[in-house]
Amino acid sequence: MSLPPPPAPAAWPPPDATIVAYDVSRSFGSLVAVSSVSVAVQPGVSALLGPNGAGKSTLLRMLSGQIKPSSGSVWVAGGDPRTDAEARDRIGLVPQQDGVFEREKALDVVRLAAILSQLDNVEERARWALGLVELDPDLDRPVGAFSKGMRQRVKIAQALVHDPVVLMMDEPLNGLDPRQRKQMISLFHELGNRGKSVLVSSHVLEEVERLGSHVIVIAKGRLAAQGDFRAIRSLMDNQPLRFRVVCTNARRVAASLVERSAVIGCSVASDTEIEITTDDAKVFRRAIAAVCRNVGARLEEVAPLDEDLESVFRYLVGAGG
Amino acid sequence: MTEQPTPPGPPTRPAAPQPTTPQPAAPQPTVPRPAAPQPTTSPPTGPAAAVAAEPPAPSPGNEGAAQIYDQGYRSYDGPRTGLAGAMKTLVWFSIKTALGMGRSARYKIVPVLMIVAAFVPAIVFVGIAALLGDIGEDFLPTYPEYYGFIVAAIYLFAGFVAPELLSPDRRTGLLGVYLASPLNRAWYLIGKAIAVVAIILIVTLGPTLLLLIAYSLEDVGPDGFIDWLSTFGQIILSGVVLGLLYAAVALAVSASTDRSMIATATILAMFPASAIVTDILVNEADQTPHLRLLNIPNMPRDLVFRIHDERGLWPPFDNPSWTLWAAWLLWVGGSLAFVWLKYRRLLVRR
Amino acid sequence: MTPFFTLYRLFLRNQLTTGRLVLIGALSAIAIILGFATGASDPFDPVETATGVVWFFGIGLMVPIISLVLSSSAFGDLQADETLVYLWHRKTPRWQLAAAAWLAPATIAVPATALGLVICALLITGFSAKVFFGTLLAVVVAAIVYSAAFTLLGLLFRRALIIGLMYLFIWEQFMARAGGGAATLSINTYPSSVLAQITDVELFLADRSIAVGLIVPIVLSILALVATSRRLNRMDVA
Repeated sequence: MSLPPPPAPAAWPPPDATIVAYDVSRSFGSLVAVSSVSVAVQPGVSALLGPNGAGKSTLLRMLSGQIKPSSGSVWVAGGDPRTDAEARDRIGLVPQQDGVFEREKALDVVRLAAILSQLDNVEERARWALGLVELDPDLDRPVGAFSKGMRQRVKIAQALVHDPVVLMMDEPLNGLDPRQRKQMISLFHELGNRGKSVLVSSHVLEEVERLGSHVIVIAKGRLAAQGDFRAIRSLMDNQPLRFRVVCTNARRVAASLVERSAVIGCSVASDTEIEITTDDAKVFRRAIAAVCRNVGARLEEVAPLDEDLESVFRYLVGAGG
Repeated sequence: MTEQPTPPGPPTRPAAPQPTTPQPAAPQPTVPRPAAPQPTTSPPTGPAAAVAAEPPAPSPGNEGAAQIYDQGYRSYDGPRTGLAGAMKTLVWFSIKTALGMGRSARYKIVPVLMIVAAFVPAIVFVGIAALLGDIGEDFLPTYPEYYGFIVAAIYLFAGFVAPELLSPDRRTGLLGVYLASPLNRAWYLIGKAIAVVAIILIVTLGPTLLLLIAYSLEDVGPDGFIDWLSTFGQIILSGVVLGLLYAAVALAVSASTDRSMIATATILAMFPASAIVTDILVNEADQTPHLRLLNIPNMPRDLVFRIHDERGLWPPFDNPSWTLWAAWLLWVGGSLAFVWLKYRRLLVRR
Repeated sequence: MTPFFTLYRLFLRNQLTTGRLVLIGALSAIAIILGFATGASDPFDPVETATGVVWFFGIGLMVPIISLVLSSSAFGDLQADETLVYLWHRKTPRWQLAAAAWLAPATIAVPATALGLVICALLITGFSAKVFFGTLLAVVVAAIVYSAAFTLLGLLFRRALIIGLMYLFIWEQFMARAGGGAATLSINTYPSSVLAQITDVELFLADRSIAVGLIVPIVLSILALVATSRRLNRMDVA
């Protein structure tokens, strides 16, 4: 697996890019949170993917202008969001933290955002934005009494109220239930289809899989991969993966498994436990149940030993950095 | 990601390979992995199983016999120091925390600044004494007067130390951990109080002792051994009187809030506020001079003047010494009682 | 509604917590008790006594403490609950944010301190125009300049409350009173001078002219406001 070579200056950034970060780094004291990242985001939905602590939030905060890069430059929708108020106003921002104005009602929070963006029809816009996230504008409760999912939607509504060209959202699906998650994802797609650049960060792979085809993967503060999600995923799938299989009659299962083409290594840890290494997880998963049935073993558990996110990104970083 | 056993497949099965002898290329290690010790959850029953506390040296005859290396839990066989040990640890750990020992530089700033502020005037006066000798004696402050230069540093120090030692333990739940040791609430509080007083004594006792020693060496100190000994006693008593009162009040404030910043702010504001309000009431409003007993920074300072038989801040006919001593006892006793009441009722979560 | 007024109203609403109201109530009550007790003692020179009490308790303690507690929380609270970004990231100019964060606590601090202290002064003197106006003007000047300074402090430091108290009690009450030029660098000197000039009572180290007593606090407030705006422009916002 190899990443495409760094883009040549002439072709980069793409002409329709709305978010461009060139060689940005940011350190906090001796900790380098983001190191020499260059990204360009075009209209449509893009996902910023990375494990916790990878530097996603730091990168997103630099892109939105919240924090100043230690080096490198950021350009969003016509200007530097730190110094150019008009450019900043073309960004809708959903910060990571939970806090929204606890004592205000949802409508007041969104109205505040509309007023500060100097919109004319504040009331109308605020109700429209709350409608987009399916929150009742007339809820007579302060935001402090909202569930996490409702707060999240208030945060999204205030980001949408001024109809920005660029949306930057830090883990916006956190705390939403599956139905709301689905709704939000389809809202993001709708916005993307209307020509907005929607940049969503997440540490949940499944979420990103549904979010969009374009992903930016960041790990340990560095850009690990960028491009079509499925392409990256399949590159990753060619990496060997290890699984732990718990079943009865482990030795016979193991003996049978090693004959399968997908299995490239196998060790019997105990009478009921096998560790296998596979180069094709999908084929292996299909095969294991059948093998157990055939040898009359009862299959209790198949768990990836290293397919947790940390490991997935290790592959990416190992190949890219 | 855990996969459940899949439901029975379609009737037409793919031809399953019969279990035969494994291919020669396939690895089939059956020896337990040495890197992964298996913790036992139940006592071994079979005669073949053996639980060893430490991995035995590999011996050729050992192959085939099962070994379970119990590394999951080790019982503690060392000495148990009980209450005395727990108290020693608590007091020493608290003192280290407050002084920023073993913590990053920013926790050292306040204690170092306060200690420097308390000692610097003493060092200056020692210098004057050394330079001017006898002539300098008129410029040198007496021991009680010296506190006038450093009283702010002392109560600032109290304001930072006491909240730092009490409030976070409640907020972080560490108090529950302490109470799971041989310490109960009373011993915990006694330990904390000892730590706070010990630290404050550094600034109430240290500089005046330094002055005594330096003055003695420069021959501007007390004359004769008896005189010297009595001065020494007065200095010790003074330092303890000041330190105990400031520490007790600071502890009482710290016991009232979990947020150490609020506690520190309250202490820092309370000391000057009590001085300003009582000064106005006595000096401007002609109210009873006994209101001065509510002056937290200055009441014990006046007591120190009396311990040294000097003319103090307030005239003795307005404020007889016994009233000061009684007020001192009430302040210290009342504050500590308040701390105890707060902690007795405190719900400790773990 | 204009952005500025919206911000101002938001800061105003955030200011009013039970703890702060209790503090204001308690200090006002003490001021009135001091005035009552001092007035009842039949002072030899009521104007001088009243001026002294207002200076010592009011300008020295009550106004700075109330201003500090209110103003340091204006940005302090927003940073603590991480909501500053919602105001900061919009296109409304940062100086409006700074001005709103300064004026909202000042709006509370001025009446909250003036009421108790004017009553205190008048309880001592009966109605006296120079004590009334002197107290009022000095308290208003003090509340405004302290609010500006402590709003900036609240933006700069998480522990602004403690740093502010240390400034007040170590610098203003302790070091600056040691004499020399130190008093020039103490905010307290200027409102105290206003009070001293109008009531014609000599106060320790409050020897500036009334013009200096008014202009320096105004300049200081503007400087603090500018510094607050600049800090907002340059800071990292989580």
